[in-house]
Amino acid sequence: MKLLNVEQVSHSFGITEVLKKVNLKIKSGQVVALVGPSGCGKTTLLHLCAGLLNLTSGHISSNFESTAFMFQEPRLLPWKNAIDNIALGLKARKVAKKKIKLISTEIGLTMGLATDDLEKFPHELSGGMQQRVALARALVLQPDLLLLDEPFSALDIGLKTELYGLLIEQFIQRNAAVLMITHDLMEAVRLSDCILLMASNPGRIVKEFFLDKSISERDDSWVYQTTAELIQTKEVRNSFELTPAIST
Amino acid sequence: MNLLRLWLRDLPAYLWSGWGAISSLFLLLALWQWGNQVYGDLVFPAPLDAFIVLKKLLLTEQARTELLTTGWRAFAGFIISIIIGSVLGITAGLSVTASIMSRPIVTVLVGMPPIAWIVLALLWFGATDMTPIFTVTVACFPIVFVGALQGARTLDGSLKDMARAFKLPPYMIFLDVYLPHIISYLFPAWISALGMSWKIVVMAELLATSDGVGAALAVSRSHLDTSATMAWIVAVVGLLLIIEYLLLEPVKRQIERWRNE
Ligand SMILES: Nc1ncnc2c1ncn2[C@@H]1O[C@H](COP(=O)(O)OP(=O)(O)OP(=O)(O)O)[C@@H](O)[C@H]1O
Ligand SMILES: [Mg+2]
Repeated sequence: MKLLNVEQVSHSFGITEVLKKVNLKIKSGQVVALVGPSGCGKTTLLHLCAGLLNLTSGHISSNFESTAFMFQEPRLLPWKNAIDNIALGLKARKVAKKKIKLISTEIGLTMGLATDDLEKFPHELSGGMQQRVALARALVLQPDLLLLDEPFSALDIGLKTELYGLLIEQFIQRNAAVLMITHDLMEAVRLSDCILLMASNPGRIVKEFFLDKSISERDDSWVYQTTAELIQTKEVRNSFELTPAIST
Repeated sequence: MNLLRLWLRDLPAYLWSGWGAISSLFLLLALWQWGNQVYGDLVFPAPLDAFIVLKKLLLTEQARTELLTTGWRAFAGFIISIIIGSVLGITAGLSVTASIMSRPIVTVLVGMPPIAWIVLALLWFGATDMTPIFTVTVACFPIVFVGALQGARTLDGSLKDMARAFKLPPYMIFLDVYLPHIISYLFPAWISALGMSWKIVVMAELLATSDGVGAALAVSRSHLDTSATMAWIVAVVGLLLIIEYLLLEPVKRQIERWRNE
């Protein structure tokens, strides 16, 4: 069984403690959504999981074979066009040139980018297009663990729905594991098996919500209702500093 | 090869955009003509006279040899300085200590007047090719060095992380992540260095050698031949304009297509 295991992880930037004793586990085939107020340490936690920050206390172990990471910002190479940006990870894996071109074009098109958009440099693309290029750059690697930092934040609902479908079809149903950060509770409810709620100062996980219904069986009304119930819970209201439920 | 193709493709459009540049050059010529009318032929020969002398000059075997000699000295000094300057600058830029340490040295090098280098070079190398080449090298080196240093210093940390997350091998990190950024700093520095090399080489030759354009200028000065002097100046400046605007500038545009204007 493949597993990403985060145990008792704390992290500080200088003297401010950003994460305190965080635990989480993700198995293959599982989608975990990380939600929490802005600045509570979600990105920091994801960077620790990817080994981009030095782990100072606690343990992180992973036996997934390939991991792909999508940053909160696109972080595209400004001097490479969209297609070459998408292809970056494949090039690093020394895949044959022709094949790289083929797969990257295909995934770019699936992301709803037009053929001529693929030839454009990042500064010629809109924010949402850049985000899709960044997502494609991660997905094209066909990883068995996907770490996504707000992957759909800049997209319209049409594109979101389409890409949810893609994610479900190509990754979740093929037994990949996904850890994704989102600010959209409805998105978390639609896509994940488990929602981890974080609170800030210091960043910690305050509640796990398990969603038992299989992802492919979730319809809109179930999603709306579950999201509404989620928002009413005490933990969510506290964490996002909402006024207590049901007033006036 | 690809660069060459793109260069050829964009050349016509680029030349067309050059009309503005040409008209401002003509403005300069007009100013020159006006100077001639105020101060007279002896001080300020008319542009036309200078061009006639230049044409005659260029038809002689000797003038072409002088130009070639000067060209080769400037080019040699330029190439040496961009190789050493780029390599050292990048290396220094990648280390914080080295870049802090090199700052004062660069300030000294920039502040050192070229004429002082010429005197030193004369003492070390005598009236040989080495004197102008050396002077050009030391004069251009700090410009290139600073460009390379800044390019390497300003590498984007977030892209470095990205390269790590995608497990790029070291050669790709250098070629795909570092180099394009550094080149965007290096190339303008190379262009300034080229202009500098032209100026310095003529000055070094004027003082230190018996051949080359600088030496020819010295001769025309001793003959009080202002038309010939102007003709040589036009030749030197014209060559620089041609190299810079026909070769380097279009290449720069191609390399930096990814930048938003
Ligand atoms: N490199 C850094 N140096 C110092 N402090 C940092 C650094 N990166 C993040 N922080 C601090 O750590 C805290 C958590 O940041 P993080 O980026 O993990 O938040 P986040 O939960 O991803 O927020 P958002 O939802 O707004 O993206 C913030 O208070 C931030 O100021
Ligand atoms: Mg974040």
